[in-house]
This record gives sequence, C-alpha cells and structure tokens, in this order.
Amino acid sequence: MTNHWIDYRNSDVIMNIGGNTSENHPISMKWIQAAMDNGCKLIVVDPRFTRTAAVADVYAPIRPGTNTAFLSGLINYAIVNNKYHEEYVKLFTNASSLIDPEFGYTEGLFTGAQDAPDLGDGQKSYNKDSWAYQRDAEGNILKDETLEDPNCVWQLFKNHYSRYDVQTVSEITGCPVDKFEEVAELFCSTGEPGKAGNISYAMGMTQFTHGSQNVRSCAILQLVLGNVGISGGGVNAQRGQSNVQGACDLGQLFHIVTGYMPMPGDGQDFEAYNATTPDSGYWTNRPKFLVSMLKAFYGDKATAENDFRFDYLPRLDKDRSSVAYYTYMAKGEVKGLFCFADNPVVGGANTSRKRKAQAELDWLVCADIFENETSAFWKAPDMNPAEIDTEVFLLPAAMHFEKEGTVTNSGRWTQWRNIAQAPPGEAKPDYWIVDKLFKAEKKLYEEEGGTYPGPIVDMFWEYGDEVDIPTVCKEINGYETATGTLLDTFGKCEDDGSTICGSWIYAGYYQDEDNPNCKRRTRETEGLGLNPEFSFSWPVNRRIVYNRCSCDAEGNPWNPDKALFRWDGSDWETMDVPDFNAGVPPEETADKAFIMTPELQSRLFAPGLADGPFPEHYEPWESVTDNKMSGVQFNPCCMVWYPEDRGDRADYPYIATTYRLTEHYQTGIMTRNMPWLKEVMPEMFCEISPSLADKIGVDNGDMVEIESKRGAIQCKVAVTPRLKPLTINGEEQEIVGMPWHWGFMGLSNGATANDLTPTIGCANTTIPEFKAFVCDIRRVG
Amino acid sequence: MAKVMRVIDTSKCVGCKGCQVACKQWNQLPAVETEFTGSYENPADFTPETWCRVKFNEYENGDSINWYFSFYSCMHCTEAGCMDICPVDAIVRTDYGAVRIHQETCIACGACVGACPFDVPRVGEKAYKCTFCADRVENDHIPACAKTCPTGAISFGDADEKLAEAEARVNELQDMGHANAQIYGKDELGGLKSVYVLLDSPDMYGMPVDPTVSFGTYLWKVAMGPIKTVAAVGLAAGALSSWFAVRKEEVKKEKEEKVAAKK
Repeated sequence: MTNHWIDYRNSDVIMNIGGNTSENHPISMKWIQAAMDNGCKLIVVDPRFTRTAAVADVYAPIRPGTNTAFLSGLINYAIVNNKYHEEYVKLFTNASSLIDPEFGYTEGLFTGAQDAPDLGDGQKSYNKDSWAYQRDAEGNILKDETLEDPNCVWQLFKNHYSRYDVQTVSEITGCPVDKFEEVAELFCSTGEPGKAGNISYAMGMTQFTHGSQNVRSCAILQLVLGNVGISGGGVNAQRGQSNVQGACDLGQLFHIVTGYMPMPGDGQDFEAYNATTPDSGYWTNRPKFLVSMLKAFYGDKATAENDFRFDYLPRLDKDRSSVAYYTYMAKGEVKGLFCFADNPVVGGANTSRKRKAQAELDWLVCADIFENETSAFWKAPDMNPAEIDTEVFLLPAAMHFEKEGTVTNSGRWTQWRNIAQAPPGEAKPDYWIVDKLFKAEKKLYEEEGGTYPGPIVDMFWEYGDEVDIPTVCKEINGYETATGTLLDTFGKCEDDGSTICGSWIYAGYYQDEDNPNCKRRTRETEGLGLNPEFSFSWPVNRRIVYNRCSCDAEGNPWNPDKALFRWDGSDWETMDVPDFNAGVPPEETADKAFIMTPELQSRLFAPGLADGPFPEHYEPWESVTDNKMSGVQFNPCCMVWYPEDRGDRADYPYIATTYRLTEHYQTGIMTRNMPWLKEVMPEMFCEISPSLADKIGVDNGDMVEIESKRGAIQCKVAVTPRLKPLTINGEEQEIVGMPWHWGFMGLSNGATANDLTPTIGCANTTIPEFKAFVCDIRRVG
Repeated sequence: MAKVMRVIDTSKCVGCKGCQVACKQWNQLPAVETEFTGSYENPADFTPETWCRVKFNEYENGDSINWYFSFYSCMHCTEAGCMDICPVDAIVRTDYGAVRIHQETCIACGACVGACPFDVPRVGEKAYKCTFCADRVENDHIPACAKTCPTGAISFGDADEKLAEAEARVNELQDMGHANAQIYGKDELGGLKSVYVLLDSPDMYGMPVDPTVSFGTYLWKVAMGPIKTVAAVGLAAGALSSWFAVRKEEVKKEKEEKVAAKK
C-alpha cells in the first residue's frame, strides 16, 4: 500500500475493485465504516454482489478479466469531463515529457513488437527502443510544459485513452452505462484538489494475464485524480496473507532479492549489475544496499577483492516463477521440492497438472501444521500411489502464534509479536527447521565437498545453536561491520563492506536492541491516524509514501484539514516522514516528488513493463467474447505453456471466476481442520444466477458438475440474484463463481476449484490467471 | 452492577460470523454438523450448542439487492416469557439485566422454547441459550461476540448509554439517507437488552415485528404461579409434557401468522 489501513478513515470515496474487503480483510471495514460515518462513499466493483457490496453505497458489476477496460474508462471519463487534477498532473507526473516520435500504437500492439515463438505461437515481445524519452545532448529529458506537443506523454496518453469511451467500456465489462457513469462521477469527484479517493484491491486485480497492467491502471487513475501521496488516497493492495508483504520485502519473490533490488541476470557479474544502477533518483544508492546485503549473506567472506561474493547469488537464467517450476517439474527436470506453509495442490493453478508434476519428483519435503493436499498428493482421487515413486517427508510446523518475530502488514507496518504458546508435540518453527537443515547441509559440503560448495560453506550463519530471533532481526536491520552498532536508517549503508544490512528498507526497524521500533506500541491520541510511534513502517517509518504530492508547488497542503506537511515560509511543518528533501524550499522539490524513479516524477507512460507503456485491454486467455479493442485477443506477451489446455467458448460457454470466503483462509489448512469454522461454512459450492439455474435445470443446493478444458469438479450450487448475467458485446453472458478453499484432505474436504484454472500467467509477474476462464456447468443426477 | 445492553448496529455488520465462532470458543461449545443448503447462513438454527448466529437475508429489489445480515441470539427481554413459564424458576434475571438459565435447576421440560417470542432457547440435557457471557461480564469484560466483532457492529455496555448511542445512530443513518432506519428492542417486551439498529423493518431481518408473550404464558404465570412446583412434579412425571408440546406448536403458529399478516 502507498497508504495504510487506518488511513482509510480519511477517504472521501473508496473504490474496492478486484477485492472483497468485507470478506477477506474484515478488519479493514472498521476503518472504511469510520470513513463512511464521516460521509465517505464506498463503491464496490465486482462480478458478484459480495458482503462488501452489501454495505456499499454503489455496487457496479464487472465481467471478470476486464479491470483495465473499466479503469481506462474512468481515466478517460476524468480527462474528457475535466475531472482530473491538472496542477497535480503537471507537477508530479511525466505528462510533459516528450517521447520518441517513432513510438506509437496500432491494432493492439505498440511499436517494437516482434515475434516471440519462445512465448508461444503468435506471441510477441517488444523491442523498446522507441518507448523512450527524447533527451538533449546532456541526457536531460525534453519537456513541453504546455502539454500540447503531440509527442508529449499527455497527448499520447489522452489519445490512447480516448478509445475507452463509456459505451465501449460498458460493452466490454458488462457494467451498464448508467451504473458506470454513477461510479465515474462519484470516484472522479476526488479529482478536485483537497478531495481524497482510495482504490483498494487484492487478487481480483492481479491474477490475470494482464495483472500488472491492471495495477498500473489503478496507479494512473490515482495520479490523474491527484490521489497518490495524500491522506485518504492511495493505491492500496490488500495483501491476502498477514505477512506476504514481509516475505516480498525479504526477497521471497523469484525476480528480486531483498528490498526490491533485481535478481542478477544470467551471466551478469558485479560490475555489469552495478552498471544498471539508475543514474538519478534514490536508486543511485543501490550499490550500497547490494553490498550491505551481500555482507549480511556472506560476512567476512564477502570482500571488495571478491566483489563481495556477488558471484554466489543465484542467477535468473530463465523463468523461475512457481508456475514455471511446475512445468519443469512435469518434465522431470526438478529432483526435489521444499514446500513450507504452501499448498500449491489447492492454491496453485491447474492443480491436476501440479499433482502429476509432483509425481516426477524424487523427493518432496513439506512443513505444515496439518497434512495438506500437497504432501498427500499421491492420495488424491485421480492419482495412483502404486505408480508414484516420490518420497514425501512431512515436517510438523509451528503456527504463527507459536513463534516470535515480526509480521509486516499491507500498510508496511513491521510489528513484533511475542510467542503466545509453545508449539505442540514435535512441531517446530520454520526457522528451526531451516537452521537444522542448513547446518547439516553445510557439514556435508565441508566434509565431502560437492558441486559449488561456496555459497553454502561461506554463508554467514551465526544465530546460535538454536536460532536467536533478535540476532536475525539485527542482521536484517543492519549494523556497522566493525562495531556492531545498529543502523537507524539506510542512509548509513555503505558500498565498501563497512555495513551489513539484510534488507535496506528495514533499516531502523530494529535500531535499538532494548527498544526496537518494531515493538513500539504508543497509540496516537490525535491526528490522522499515522501513529508514528506505533511499530515501524518501512521506509524510515514513513506512513504515506510519495507524500510530497500532498502539497502544491509552494508547499500548501491540498487539504489543510488532512495535511501531512505545510510550508510556513521558512520551514516545513511535518506530520509524516518526508519523502523528499525537507531541507530546501518547496519549489525545489515540486518536480521531484517521486525519488524512486530516475526522472523523479511518476509515470503515466512507463517503459519498464513487458507488455506496453500504457495499459491496454486484452481479453483473458480464455474468454467468451472477442476483444473489442483490437484484433489481439489476449496479452501478446505472456508465456503460453500448454496451448492444448485452452478451452473454446463453443465447448465452455460460461465465464468462471474464483474467490475466497470470510469463513476459510487460503487453501483451508488452518480453517478446514477447525470444527467451528467447518460448521459455519461446511462445504465447497459454486454460485450462479437464477437465469443460469433455469437454463441448466437446477435448484438451490443441487449438485452440479463444472468442467473446464483442464478437468471437472462436482459441488453444490447456490442459486442467487447476487450473480447476474452481464451483457457483453451485445450478448448475455453468465458467470459461475467458485471459492477455491477446498481440497481432498482435512475435516472439511471437497472439490478443488483450481483443478479448473489454467497454467498461464501475467506477462510481467507470472501470477496465474485464476480469476477469469471459461467453463461449462451441468446438473448431476 | 448497572444494567447492561448489547447493541447490534446492522448497518455495520458484514456477515463475517466472527461472533458465532467467538461464542463457541469462549463458551467451549462443540461444533455442530451442518451442510450447505444454498445460503451462507450456518448453522441453520439454534441448538443446545449454538447460542448465536447470523441470519443472511437476501432480497431482490428491482435491479439492486439488499443483503441484510443480523446477529440473532437471546434478547434478554424485560418481559421474559421464558422466565414466566419456567415451572421450576430456573430462569432468573441477574442484577445487570441478563436473563439466565440455571442449569442445575432446569428440568429440560422445554416450556421456555415455546414461550420465547424469538424462538431462542434449545433443549438438550438442559435448556441452553446465550448467557450474555456472564463469566466475562461479571469480571468486567464484554461478551465474546462484542469483543470479536471487527467492525463494531456488536457493542456492549451500560444500558442507558448504549440505548442513547443506538438512538443517535438511527438519527445519523436517517440523515445519511436511510429513510427506514429504525431502532428495535427499545420498547418491545418492556425493552430488550439486545437492541438493534436496523436499516429496514424488523421482518426484513427475520425478526418478529411485534413480539409478544402469548396469552397462554400469561395465564400460566397467573393461574399456576402458586403451584408451579407441583406442576413441575407433574411435568417430571410426564403429565403436563403433552400440554407443553401442544403449546409450543400453537405459539409457533401464532408467530407465523403474525409475520404473514405483516407481509
């Protein structure tokens, strides 16, 4: 999140799109309702009338897989109806920057498209030479502050979005014109200076072949309306798991190391990696963060002479996403798999393929609190244990309340938790298991050698006989190598090996052994809910990022009642930690509000993405309709692993989507084994409209079979007007909704919705397209 | 101890059922077997082990939908039919206003079930229902349902203060454009200790519009009051059990007719 949970209470309008905040983040409703008590309006955009829609002011239906079209429609509405925040756009975005005249867009493709058979038949990758700023001889970006140059971002942007008129958007998304206009009028009202609009979303925004562009669309809309960097605004990703933010911050994603530094590329050495360091903006400090991280990894073994053992880092030689891994596994290329607190055989896409892939493993180690479907894959109804040679080890794990440490929430607050009780029996925390495993492995390498022992035997691993968590925290926070003095800010990181810092953005969270910031619990008594003395918010305890944007060029807050900063003529009055140089007058930072981009401005035009500098609507990989916007049916840049898995609308005429319920959590391991939670939501089911129920001849509670090209499942059906058919490109289309919590193990077991979802993912992140595919549904019996 | 009240602000309820689970956990009530029947509502009814539940009320309203969630449990009525009818005086009122069943006295006759206008108590080995988490309240804690509620839809405290808050909330909701916003339980049955802030009429939330203690229950109180214990002996011997069974059916029918009439 750019903002944080409590800040929701400061919003004038909240749009929950691609999320279901009542059901999946119930506590957030406390703050949303606090806002509503102050007159805030809540908009819910969702294929289903959810428990969030039940308490919303405006509910707008949307076809799964059309968020970019919907948001593009809002962006265009703001432009053509003059609802955008012009001054903000000019100051804080790259609207005035000039782009290479060669750049353009035709029929679904931007310039530079070239065939990419590696991605799949007909797929494309881009030569991005023309996706570039025009620069003068010194390398400065050329700009036209009047925004009138036909090659300036604003003109290209306006032109691109003009295609997303209300009628077109309605036909693509299925949202009726009047409902779309109601949403547009209400949300775009926050384009008025001083008003705050909040977009909150979750996996209904990201789990598409164009998921990154969906999120880009949220960011662009918020920039155009002046809603980034202000209290009550923001692009707010509601994380689906309590510490997934922390996991990402500490390098759990396949394409980045800690603190969002890129993973080294294939064959890339230290010098080549550092040559990619941006030449302006705060990322110019990246070598300091990298070296401090390498020192945390390899300690004394990392020296300037050996490039701090940069060579020990794994290389991103090919797609190393979890989706890709299972395709390699299916081909027998992966010998073993560690699966900690993960249940891909329920939570991954195309789970029947996942089970079969796991049968190709020599060994599988799972650590979980119950035997889950991944460790028990060989017992699945469609598997034959006699034919499976995989050796499975199941390690009993401790739950989160049974270990101490920090959890980082969606709002970037890193909060210490004490251990509540010891784990039962032989259950152990993951870090205990990893520690023992690492030490045993290291001993083997030391005694017996082996292929490339360096990264293991040289690993700095001094956490005691039993892992001492404060010691780990200190290493993540960082300290001076020579003295052990803890860092209070990443500003003290050095690139000469004199500092150690596991994840630079966490510097300051454990700055004092006796009183670490992550243990602070002082609540704010008045103010905007920033709570600066409660826990630690990365970076540098900043509660709202990009916060220079909360004031105009002269330093006057857009909304004096919810000011984060105020320039009094000689000094900044600060309520939050500045995301800008507060030591200079406001005029000097007005066009430098985004210190993490080299151009120091936010990007309406973003050349970094694989599939286009502007978001463009493409249909999901499987769709019931043709792409109205161009002849390019689905994202041309995503990897197509199994073309034969793609269902045709003639065979699978209905739109399918998946989601979670309040009563269960993720793959259900914690909740489906809990009798009280089984009681409140006992079984797998699907939801359809009364009109679809009439068509296939079922009543509420009947058994149905749902089939996709990947398989078929059976479950009960809920027939409800909360799902309605949508008119898409002139044709009425029905939706089948399914929760994905269930699997064949546990106290409450049932069909796995992900048996139906496809192996395909976002062109930028590979997150699978769980939320939109096609199916058939029929009565059973 | 001052009188207490539970206020259920349905405008803030998101149907998460946290209250149901917290009730089971605090009171250590076993889970009951349930099945999916086409609604998110579960369990479908009270049981001796299920003392509160959230009703999911779904209405199609032209192009739009109303999906009302309502916490449902013992109302702790001032004019408590269950207390009146209990032949062994096992149901008592605490000094803070809660209606409690003393299980050590209860003979599991089921009279309270038929007498309750809200159809709340259930009989197993004894009769059971919400205790207002007496063990919490008597130790200065709010009931588990209110404690766990993430949105503040269920709150608990001093009866006068909570009632004033509820009335203010109704005004606020009306000002926000909810024309049908209303209070429920302020006057019903002498005043309930579970008061509701509703966005619509009570029947839309699955609650009786005009709850009354039946005339039969009143008669029983007046006529049999002096000889309740004798009656209880009779009951234990089974002599009066058939009367209660018949009476329970009658009450149920009366209630259904009343709801039908309102609609």
